[in-house]
Amino acid sequence: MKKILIFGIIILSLLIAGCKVQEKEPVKVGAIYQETGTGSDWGARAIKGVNLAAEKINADGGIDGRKLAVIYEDSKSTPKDAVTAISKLIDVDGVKAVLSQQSSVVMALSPIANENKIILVDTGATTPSYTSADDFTFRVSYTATYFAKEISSMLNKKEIKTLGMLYVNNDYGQGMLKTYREYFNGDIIISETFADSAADFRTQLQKIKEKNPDAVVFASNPTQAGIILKQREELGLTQQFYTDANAMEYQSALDSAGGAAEGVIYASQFYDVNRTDDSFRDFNSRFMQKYNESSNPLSAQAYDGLMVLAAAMRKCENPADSECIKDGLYNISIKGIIGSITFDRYGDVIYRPTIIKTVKNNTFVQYK
Amino acid sequence: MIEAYLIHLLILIGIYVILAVSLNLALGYTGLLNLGHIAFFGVGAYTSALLTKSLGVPFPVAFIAAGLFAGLFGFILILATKKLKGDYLALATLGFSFVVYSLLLNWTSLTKGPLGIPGIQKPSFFGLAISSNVSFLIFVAIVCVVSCFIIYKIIKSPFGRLLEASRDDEVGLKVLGKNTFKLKAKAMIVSAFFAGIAGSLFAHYISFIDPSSFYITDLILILTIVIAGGIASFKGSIVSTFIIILIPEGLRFFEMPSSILGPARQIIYALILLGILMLRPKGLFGRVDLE
Amino acid sequence: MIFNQLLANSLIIGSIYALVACGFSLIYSTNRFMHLAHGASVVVSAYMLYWIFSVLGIPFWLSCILTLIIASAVGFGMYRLVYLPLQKKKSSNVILLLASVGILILIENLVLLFFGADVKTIGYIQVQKGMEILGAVITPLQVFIIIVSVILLVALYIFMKFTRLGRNMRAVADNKELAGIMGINYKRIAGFSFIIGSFLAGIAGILIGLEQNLEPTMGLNLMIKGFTGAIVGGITFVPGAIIGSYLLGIAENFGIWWLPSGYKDAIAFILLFIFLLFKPSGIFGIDKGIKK
Repeated sequence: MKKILIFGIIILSLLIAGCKVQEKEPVKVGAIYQETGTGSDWGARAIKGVNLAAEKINADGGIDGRKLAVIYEDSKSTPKDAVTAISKLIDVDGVKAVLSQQSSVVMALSPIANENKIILVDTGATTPSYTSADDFTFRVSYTATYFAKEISSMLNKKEIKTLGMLYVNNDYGQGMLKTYREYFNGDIIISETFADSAADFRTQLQKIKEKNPDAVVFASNPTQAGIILKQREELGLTQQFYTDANAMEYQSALDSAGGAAEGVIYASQFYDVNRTDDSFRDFNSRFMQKYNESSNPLSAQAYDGLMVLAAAMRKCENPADSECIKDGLYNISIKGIIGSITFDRYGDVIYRPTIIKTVKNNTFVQYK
Repeated sequence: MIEAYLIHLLILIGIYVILAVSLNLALGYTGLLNLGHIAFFGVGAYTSALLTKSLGVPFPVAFIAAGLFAGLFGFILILATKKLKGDYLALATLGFSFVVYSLLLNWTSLTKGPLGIPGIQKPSFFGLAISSNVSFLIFVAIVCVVSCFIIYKIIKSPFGRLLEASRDDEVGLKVLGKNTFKLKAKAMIVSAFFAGIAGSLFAHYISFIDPSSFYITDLILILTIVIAGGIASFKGSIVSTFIIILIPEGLRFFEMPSSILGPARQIIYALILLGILMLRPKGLFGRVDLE
Repeated sequence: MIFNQLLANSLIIGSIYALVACGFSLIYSTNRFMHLAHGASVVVSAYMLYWIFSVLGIPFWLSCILTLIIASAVGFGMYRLVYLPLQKKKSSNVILLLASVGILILIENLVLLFFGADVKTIGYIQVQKGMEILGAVITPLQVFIIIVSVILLVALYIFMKFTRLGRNMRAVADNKELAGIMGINYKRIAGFSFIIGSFLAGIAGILIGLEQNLEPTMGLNLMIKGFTGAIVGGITFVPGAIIGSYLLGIAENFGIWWLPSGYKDAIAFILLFIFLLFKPSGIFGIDKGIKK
């Protein structure tokens, strides 16, 4: 009799302990970013933002008393490795939501997310093709439209008639080409492309030089941007070069240009580090404290991405119910760092301001 | 959740066993120094992916078509390299890998080039979808066992003995009046066929393919498996696949960042290859030397 | 004017391929097997220059000398540690080829491990607009590279034909045993071929590292191009490798004037494949014992 009682108490306490363990189990979210590879500049910034957001969420009590745990995977800047990463996150870690960026990566992840009913939040990819209606994919990032539109209106105002395009051959570059075709009034008389891993652009620049467009727009990763500007100087191309912040606003771009970046014009997210509103000041100072550098748009987008995801999760009884999170996101409205966050039926965030910047004395300044 | 990861590994092993055994048929038993095997894998993968995605062809048809189309490429290769021997044959087949890779990369209107093909569906037979990983593993296991059985039967048959004779003493065989080219062609086509269906399995499992999966690094992996297992050793190829796929996985327990994991894995493959070549060129179970 | 620029571009890239091809061809001429790990010698040199000059801050010319010594040592090391033991076991050329591929993959990944995958620059040359010569724009460094490869072309021809070491190398290549009987120590000669060949790889690594940027996979890419140049020109005739490289450069640059730029590598692959199929001895090579 005694033995049965003791046995019963042990089983009962194990069950209770098990329940308690279940309760305290963290809510897991996946984050697939470029820790290595050609996009590592972008990945580094995003990870900083996500980290900071996770800290804040947990400091504010987590998700209904449970801790939020972010599981990072390296996309290696290739869709192939990102696909392996998301499979692991879904099968092994059991996440119901994933953050990511890079156009080609999110394009490859999107069908997998939808098939498995996993929320996919893009925090940096610009390709228009990612936009799809009523499904599990969302975006808190500037798209090519914002940048291309801004530069195009500048070109149109200057009455530039002919344009040359030099773009990396992936979803990001092709997205840019498509968008410029839409918004630029003149003719794109030549478009040349190059591989994601290319480090030599002389042939393409040569062909562009021959066609002699009034201006040239390029889209690439930061290191390539620097090399493009360096080689165009060596080859003697005189037209003004334009691009977007994803290619340009990085130290690695300035380094690989070796001084040839002077004067390039690019569209950037409007991100004023001197903003005085409380929530921004709080974010920026925490960022500076943790990373010893000023915050930047890509980090802020990633931060916002996790914050809005957490907000939707909190509204759900079961944070693992991805259908509930999905509905929550389509109906949500919160104040993010970049701006207010609401999603249209395609899951794209609405309204973002852009400005034009340039490189002067090897620093990024607003273009006047 | 470790089981999920184990299932993933077993699926990969199943696919690579088919690749290894089919390569061994050509390289080990027939003596064809084919460094172009990865091209057949790629052709199969793209064929299957494009047929199911763009043309809505049912999976079983695409699956077989992948093998047949890869077989066609095998025929082209053996025809082109008819007169070559030794390391020149090896290099020409390597060149063939490069040319196919280039085609996959540049024929963008067909293959979408570096952007790759995302969203490849899981296989479905007459309405029955293979949706979970467990069912996919069962499917791969069945295909693998059937493929191995067929290739084993070929090896043990009189035809198989002729292939080995052609490897060991081609001139002698010709003297006896055998058309050695026909023999080699058949072996190459069969070898390519199975590489093609392995490609189809791969594409429908990973759901995303791009040309980078069908280049040098993966070729080295298959070569290492076959050489380590032993030339002309059926058993060796199978055992070797298990060992070589599983060893780098042990690295995961050391909690290394992925910037180290990636190159570390390649270094292990290279060391295994060099080690086998230098210390035990017959491989684990091999009976024959590389000529 | 386009024609002149295309020609200039062909000469520049042809010279770069030639720098890689000549060392490879020298080693093949003497040893009669494909030392594909030669590309690894080039990568190692470029990264060593980066490390010694850009990271450690040692003066440029001293860095170059150290780099060249390291390159030669690495090449020699490959011979003594891998190829010679395999040759002693009477390994076939195929095994040596596979071993060289193994070495190439090993070294490239070691570089990747230690230096990371991101592109690196050796910031020695200032960015400036090139000079205009006959309607083509070309920088001083590029002119220097072309001159170096032409000098090597002449120097290697003289070396192989007229010096004793050169003649010994050819003797060993033709018939190792016979050369041995004639009193030539073929192990020593082979060792020399690796030292000199890898020294040339060192030169290639330095110049290419300055002109292009560094990334770990550059070895494989350059090896494929250099190898193609060597095959096209005739792998048994060392100066032929240089000429073949120029032909490859011309084919690539004039080819992609009409084709989309992505096809550049495809041109090299197709050229390689065609030559391997129809004329493996290349344009200048002699058909000695290639088909066994």
